[in-house]
Amino acid sequence: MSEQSTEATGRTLDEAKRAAADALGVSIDQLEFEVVEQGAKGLFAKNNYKVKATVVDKPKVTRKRATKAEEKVDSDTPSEVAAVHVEADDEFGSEDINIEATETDAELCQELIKGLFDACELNIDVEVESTSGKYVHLGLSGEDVGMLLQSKQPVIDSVQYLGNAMLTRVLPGGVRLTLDARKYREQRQAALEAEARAIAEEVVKIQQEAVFDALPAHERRVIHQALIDFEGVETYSEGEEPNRRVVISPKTD
Amino acid sequence: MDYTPIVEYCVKKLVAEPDQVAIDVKQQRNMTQIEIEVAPNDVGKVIGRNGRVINTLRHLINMVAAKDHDKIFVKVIAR
Repeated sequence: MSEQSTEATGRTLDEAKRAAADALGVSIDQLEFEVVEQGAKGLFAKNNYKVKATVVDKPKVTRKRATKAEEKVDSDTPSEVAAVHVEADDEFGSEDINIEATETDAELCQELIKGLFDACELNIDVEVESTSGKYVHLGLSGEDVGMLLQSKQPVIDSVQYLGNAMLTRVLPGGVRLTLDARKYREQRQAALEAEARAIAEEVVKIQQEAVFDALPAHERRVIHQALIDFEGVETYSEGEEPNRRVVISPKTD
Repeated sequence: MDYTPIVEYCVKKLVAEPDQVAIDVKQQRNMTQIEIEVAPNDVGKVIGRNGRVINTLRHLINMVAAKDHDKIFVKVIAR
C-alpha cells in the first residue's frame, strides 16, 4: 500500500506543504498538516518549516500517482526528492508530471526551433535526438553552432528558454524542449559534477558554506543531484532568478 | 540585415492575439530600436517574469547582430 504520511521541509510553510504533497502524490487539500519544527527566521535561513503530513481522504483518482510517489519515497528520503524536484521544475512547468511527448510533439519542437534559426539567418540544423517523459531533446549542428556556445551566458540557454516560452502557446499540454550542441551539456555536466565534488570536499574540510556562481535551473539541479549521496554536506539554493545560487553547506546533524 | 523576422516569429508565437502584433523599426545613426506593439493582455507574455522572455530574445538578436557590429534595442509597447 502507499504511504499514508510523511515529513517534509521547506523554506516557507507553503513550500513544505507542497513538498509533502509531491512526495505522497496527492494534492495539498487532501492532506492534514502538523508543523513539527519551525526554524529561525531570516533571509538566508533555509528549510525553516518541517511539517508532518497525513492523508485524510484518498479518492481513487490519486491512486496511480500515489504508487509512483511510493517508489520515489523508497529510493530516496522525501525531503531530498522534494528539494531536487522543486529545482528541476522549470518556470513553465506543468502540474502533470506524467505526460509523454509524442513523435508529433517532437517534430513540432524541431520545426519551432528550426524556424527560429532560419529567421535569424543562421546555418544551424535541428534534429530530434530523443524524448523522455515530457522532454523533447533536440540536437543542434552546423556552421553557426559555435556562436551559441561562446559567451559566459551561452545563447543556447536563452534559445532553450525562449523556445519553451513559445511552446506553452504553440503546444499547450506541458511538453518541454532541451537543446544540445557538440555534447555541450554532457561536458558541462561533467565539469559541474567535478567542481561540485571538489568544493564539497573543501566544505567538509573547513566546515564552512560555499556558494556557487549564479547558474540556470537545470545546472543547479546537476549540482544538487551530484551531492545527494555525498557524506557530510547538504545543498540548497538561495536568491532570486536569474541570480539564484547553489550553496553547499556542512551537514549539522 | 533585417531583424524584424526574428522578432515577429517569436512574438507571434508568444501572444494570445497574433493579429494585434505590430513591429516597428526605428533606425538612428548608430542604433536600431525595434518596437513591439501587442494587445495589452499580451504584454506580460512577451516580457515574461522578471523580463526573462524579452531578455532571451534580446540576447539572441544581439548575438545575430554582432556579426554586423550592430546593437539592437528591443522595446515592448501596449497597444
